[in-house]
This record gives sequence, C-alpha cells and structure tokens, in this order.
Amino acid sequence: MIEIKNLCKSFDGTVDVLKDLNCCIPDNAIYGLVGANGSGKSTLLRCINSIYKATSGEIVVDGLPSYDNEEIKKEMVFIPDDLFFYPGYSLYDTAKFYQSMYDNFDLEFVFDTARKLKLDFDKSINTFSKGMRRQCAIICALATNAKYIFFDETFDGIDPVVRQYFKKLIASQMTKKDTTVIMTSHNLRELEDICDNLGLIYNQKILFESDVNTLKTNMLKVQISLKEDFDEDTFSKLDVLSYKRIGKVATLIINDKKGTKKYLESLKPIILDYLPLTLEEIFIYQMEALGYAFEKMV
Amino acid sequence: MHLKKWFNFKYLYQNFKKSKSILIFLVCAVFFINLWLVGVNLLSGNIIIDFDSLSNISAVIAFILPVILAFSLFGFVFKRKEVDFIMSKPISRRQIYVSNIFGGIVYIFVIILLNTLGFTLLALFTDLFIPAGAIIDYFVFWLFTYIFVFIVSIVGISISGSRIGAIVIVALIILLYPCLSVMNESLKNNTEYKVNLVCRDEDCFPSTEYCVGEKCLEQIDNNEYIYDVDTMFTGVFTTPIDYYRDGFTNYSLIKTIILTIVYGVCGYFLFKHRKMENSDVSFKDNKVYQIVKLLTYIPVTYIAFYLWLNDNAFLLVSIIICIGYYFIYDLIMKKELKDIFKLISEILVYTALFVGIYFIVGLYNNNASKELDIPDEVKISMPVNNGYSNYPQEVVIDNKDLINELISLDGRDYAYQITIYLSDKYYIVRYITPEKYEHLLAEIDKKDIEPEFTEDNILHITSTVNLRTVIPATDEVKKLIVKFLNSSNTGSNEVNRYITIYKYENHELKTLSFDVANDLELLNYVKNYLNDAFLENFDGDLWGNDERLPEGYSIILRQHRDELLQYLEEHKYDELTEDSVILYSNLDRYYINRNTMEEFLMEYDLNDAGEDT
Repeated sequence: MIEIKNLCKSFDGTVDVLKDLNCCIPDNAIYGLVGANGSGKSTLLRCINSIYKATSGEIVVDGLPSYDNEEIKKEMVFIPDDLFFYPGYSLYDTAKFYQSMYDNFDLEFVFDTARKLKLDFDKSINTFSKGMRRQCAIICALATNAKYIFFDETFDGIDPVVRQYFKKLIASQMTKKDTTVIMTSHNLRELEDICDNLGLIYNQKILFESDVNTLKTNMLKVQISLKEDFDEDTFSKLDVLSYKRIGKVATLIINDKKGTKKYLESLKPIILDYLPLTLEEIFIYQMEALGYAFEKMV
Repeated sequence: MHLKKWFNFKYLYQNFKKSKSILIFLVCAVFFINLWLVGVNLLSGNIIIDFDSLSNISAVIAFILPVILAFSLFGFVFKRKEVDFIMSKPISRRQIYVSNIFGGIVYIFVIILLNTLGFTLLALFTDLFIPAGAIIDYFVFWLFTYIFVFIVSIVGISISGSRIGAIVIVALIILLYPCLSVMNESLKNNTEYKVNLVCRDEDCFPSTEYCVGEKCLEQIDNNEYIYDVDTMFTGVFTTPIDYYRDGFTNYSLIKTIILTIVYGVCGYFLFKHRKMENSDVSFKDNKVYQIVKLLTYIPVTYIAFYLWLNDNAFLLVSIIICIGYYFIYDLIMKKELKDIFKLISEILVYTALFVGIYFIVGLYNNNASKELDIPDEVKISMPVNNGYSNYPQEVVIDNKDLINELISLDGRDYAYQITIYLSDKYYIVRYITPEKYEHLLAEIDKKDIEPEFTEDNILHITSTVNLRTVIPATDEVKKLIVKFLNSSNTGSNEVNRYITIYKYENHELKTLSFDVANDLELLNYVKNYLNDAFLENFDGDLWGNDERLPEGYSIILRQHRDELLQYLEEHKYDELTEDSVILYSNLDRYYINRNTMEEFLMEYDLNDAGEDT
C-alpha cells in the first residue's frame, strides 16, 4: 500500500505544485489519477518514484519511507509520459537493461508480447513510431513483475486495438500477481473501463478519491415519466444529486439509499429506466455535490 | 557496511555500455596519439624521453577526457527524460554516485595504465630511452590528475542543470585560483615594491641599502633581490595547473589526493540533494547563477582593467569587453536577455567593485613589505663544478659572519650567482667573486657535496657524438665512469670524445656529458661501442680528420674503403693511445690506434696521397 501524507512539492521554492496532498493507494488495485494538464499528476508520480524529492511530507510504501530507497524501488516501475530510450538501443537492448535492474524481469514475456504486437526486436526503438515506442515501454514495465507499476498518460499514442490488448494484459497481470497499477490521465474515459479506484487531483491536492464500484453502486441514473404532472419536488424524499427534465421525461441522479427504488416504483411511473453511469458523470455529480464545477477541473 | 548499499555493478555496466562508443574511442585515441607522439622521437633522432615528453598529449587531454567521462556517466541529469528513466530505476542516488565514481576511476586507471604499458613497450623494444622512473611518474601523476578533474567535473554536474553550466563550474574550480594568482603577479610586476630586511648586525647591510632608524630599508628596483613578497594569491595552484606552471617539481601528490577527496565528498552531498527537476537550465537558483556569473566576470574585468592600465586608448575596448561578456554570458546561460537596464546597472556596480579591488591589490602589492631577521643558519644554493659542468648544489651554512658578508655583497658582475634562502619563502640572489666562491666552498662541509652520479643511479649512457649509439650501462662501465668522475684526470676539452650519462632523480631526467679521452681504459671501453656503431651504420662516405695525415687522405680512404673496413673490423679492439686517429662517417666516429692506422697506410702504400691519386 502506498500512503502519502501531507506531501508538498514546490519548484524554485515559490511555485507549489503539490500542497498537503494526502492519498492512499491500496494493494492489488488499478488506481486512476485524473486531473487537468499541469495539475501535478506527473509530479506526484515522480515524487513517489524518488525522481523528485518532496519539499515536505511523507511517502510510505509498504510501511517504509520510499525516498531513494533502492529496496522499495525494486518493486516499482515508472513509465513517464515523455519516453526515453538510449540512442541506438533496440527493444532487446532495452529489455536487457531492465533485466539488469529488476531481479524478476521476464524476458520471455517481452519476446512473446513483442511477437504478438509485431514489434521488431532488433531495430532501434528510436526509429519506431510514438505508439510503438510506448508499446515497448509498457511491455518492459509489465515484464519487470514489479509490485507497483506507474503509467503516466498510459495509452497516449496507442491505437484502440492495441490499447484494449494492453488493458487485458494489465488486468491479467493483476489476477496473476499482487500488482498495483497507478495510471494518470487527463481523460477520464480512458481510465473508465480499467480502474477500480480513482483519485482526482485539483488545486495541488487529491480532492476526491474512491472505489469505482462503490461509486457506481451508490448512485443511480434514472429516466422517469409520470402519468400526472411532476417536478423536482416530487422527488424531494430522495437524495437527488441532479435533476434534468426534457418534455415529459426527467433524468435523475440519485444517491442509492435503502428504499429508493421502492419509492420510485410507488409513484407508478409510465417510464422507469435505470441507466448505466459513466465515470465522468459520477465525478461530475460528486464534485458538484462537493461544491466544485467539474468542467473547470478536468 | 553493506557494499550493495553503495555500489551497483549492473547499473555501472549498463551506464558504460550505453556510452561505449565514445569511451572506447577515447581510450584508443589517447593511446595511439600518445604512442605516436612519443614514437615520433625515434624518427627525429631524439631518443631520450623524459616525463615532459611522455606528457605531451596527456597534459592537454587532462582538461578534456575526465570531463567527457563525467558527462558520459552523469550526463543523464541534464535531460529530463533521461532523469525519469534512470532515477525511477531501483537504484539510489548514493549507488549512482559511488558506482559511477568507481567506474570512472577504473576507466581512468585503465587508460593511464594502457599508456604506461605502451611506453614501457616502447622503452623495451625500441631505441628510445625512457627511464622507468619517468614512466612510473607518468602513471602516478596523470592518474591522480585525471581523477581530480573527473571528480571536479562531477561537482560541476551536481551544481548545474546544463552542460555549459557544469563546464563553467569546472573551469572556475580549476582555473580561477591560478588566474587570480597570475593577475596578482602581474599587478605586482607593474610596480616597484619595497622589502624591509632587518639587520641586527651592521655587517649585514647590503651595499645599496640605506637605513631608517633601526631598519635597513632597501629600495628594490627589480625582482632579483627578494623575489617573493607577501601577496594575496601567490604560490597555491590547483592541479593540473601545477604541471603547466612548474612541471612535476611543484606537484604535490598529497595535495591532489586531499583535494580530490574533499571535492568527492562535496560532490556526494551535492548530488544526493540535487534537484533533478533542474535540467536544461544552467542554474535554477538565481543566487547561485549570480555568484557563478560574478566569479567568471573577475578575469574578464581584469583583462579589461589591464588593457586600460597599459594604454588609455584601450578604454573603449575594455568597456566593450565588460559589457559584451556580461550580455553574452546571459545569452548562453539563460538564452534570453531580460531587463537590460538592470543588467547595465549590474555591470557598472560589479565592474567598479572589481576594478576597485584591483587598485587595492595593486596598492597592497606596491607597498608589500616584510620584515625578516637574518637567520643564524641559511640554506645556500650555489653552482658546483664537477670538472665537466656546473650543477646547483644546496648547502647549509651557520657561519654568521659569512652569512652577513654574503648578504652585503652587491657585485653583479661577478661570475658566481648564489641564492641565499632567508626562510622557506624569501631568498636573496647575490653574485660573488671566484675567491669568495672558493671561500664558500671551503666553508662548506665537503660531505654535503655528493657526487651527482653514482654507480647506482646511472641508468643510461650514450655517445654524445651520435645519440643513437647506446653504450650498455653495465656494472663495469659504471664503475669506470664513477672512478673517472672522481679522479682529477678530467681536463681535456676534446669535443669529439664525449659520452653522456643519464639518471632520473626528483622526477627529472638529469644528464652529464664529458670527455673520456684522458682515461684510456674508459675510452677503450666506450670506443668499442662507438666503433661497432660506425661499422654498422657505415654507408660508404668516409674521411679522416687528422691533420698530421697526408693531404688528400679522405680521397685515399674512399678509394680503399672495403679494404679499410675489413682492416678496421680486424683491429677494432686494438688499444687506443692518446694520439689515436678518428675516422668519420656521417654522424659516427671510429677510434683507431695511430700505429694500426699507419700500418694500414703502409700496407697499401698510402702515405703519399699524391702518388695514389
């Protein structure tokens, strides 16, 4: 588990990128970190990975301070948004480099995956396209079998087919090993179908974090139409987060409490549909409930 | 202490692997250039190699190779992407620093060792004479000097966020102090300055002095009298500048090692706390930026000041230098020029400040004075003649009257120059008469003057006539040479019969050339080698020089060349006499017994040159 306590990071001693940030990333989860460009997602990952030294605060990984601790870093692998490969290095050379750094590196996994993705093993990676380079980086990261894998702007430049392939690969990695994946994106939709925990970084701190399943099960999106005339007050007994009405049909976002569905049925609606909620909607309504305008954040 | 906490071999291997091209190129380039530069002496006939000859390329590369090496190993800190790549790997900053330092030192060790082995091979398998001491000195001196520059480069890298910034820091650490020292010396040389020499005894007054109160004040009008006075930056240099100033003699291995350790420890803490987000920007911290800029501005303002001081016509040039540098520095380091008015005001303030300091230093140096008591015991350096040449000999005398007498002398036209050391730092140069010189010699304990060359320290012997001709330094010949040097039979000045002996002492190759003609035993020994070389190199052109031989002698010898050569071969071990004959062929000389030569002439009826031709 990664616990971050009161983390502050400032550049030049003046610009606070992170301020009193608190966060808890559970084990064996895929943690999505979302936030606008420049919100500090990458800085947070760099602090966790000891690239940057925090101005103050503490990062504890599996109960131990993580900064510059090579034993803890053995269980961490970080793929930044801006990738780097040594000039002239092929995927094989890069894999060998990773192998020398990580004790549990699986070279066979690199061979297999590269073959499936038709990546030339011996060609210089720097001659590859942006998406192919990212594929190489992700393959090497997964092959380390590290406990914590950090991806910054994970699927940037990767086509949808390969993206889905990697999502499955990450999921299978999770089931095989006790791996925790931390992903950042400025695009919530990209993380929606893979993350099981989400944190929103805004105003130099984690504004909101939660388990996605809990979020989804705790909220209902309902389309409803009643025989008689109705308005927002008709649902005043419920914990309505959002009410929108177009013609005779209203769309409600409701915090799912005991008796909510029974109450809705008791109104004898002409239409009563429970619709799936997207992560974006969940975040929007939760943030609005907290008093933030979500559109400004993401 | 757990070694793995400090050192990660796998990382080091990978770090070298990614830079292998440049590092292998450097090893090969330095090795081959070194061997070529030393080996080319063979072609030019200069077969005697000392430490300086070995150091030609190494001295230049000392400022390049360690810096490139440091950039190869630590250069990742200048690229944000590479910082992410390396720093996120399971390796601590401590391991990165120590592993890279270790790797760099091993690399330097290998490169210097390879060159050392190359020199050793040259010494063993060619005609070059390279003293083993010079090779060892080369190894030790350049190994530690390269390591020093390497460590300093890492300090620069740890402080700065860009390569150019790091180079500036390295240049400041290595060059600023020597630069200040040179500036200080030049300020001193512009002026007359005074030294107070305190004479408690009236006999010690220099003849040109005049006295003020109890003190004898001498107006010094040149730097010969007491050269070294208290000035601000004198005498302390940073290796490898020591080499450029005084060669190996002023080099301190201990100083180099201590400085290397100090910089190494500083570098460790700087690297450990380095803000890795500071890449691509020379100095993120504005205070550090300003300090570095000001330090680099010192020599610039000095050059401008010096130009102006020497000629007012250079005032405009001086101003352009100052302003131009200040702006160019910002353009290079920050890639922008902000707030021009602020920059100009900075230039005015700092230039005025530095020029003010130069005036003060100049004033200080002008009036630099030192009160020195005449010590009861002084060290004197004087030339001692061993019959063949003069060489400096240091002796200690405690005869107060003699000390006072020597100090009071001012006969600059006299033949012998001596240096009287009043302390470790101050000395006086005096000129003494031959009589006084003899007197001084008589005062000196003879035991203090060791013969410069002994059987133990003679390493190499060559013919002065032809440096290619090496006379093997066997125990037998060394014994003969030392016996000869200690004898009084050394008066001849026959230039054609010289040999040169070599020794390597105090990191210097010392030589002594002398005539062996008056020692027939030694001459016979030596002539065998010279005669062999003559016969070996003989290319057909032959002539004699003995004026007592008939006119046209050389033509006659040329006509009977083959017969003569066979004759010489048969008689080459004939004993020589004092009036032996010398035959010439290019650079070589053949020494032949006069009777043997005359027998040859008789045999071929060549006594009358006219008849034969």
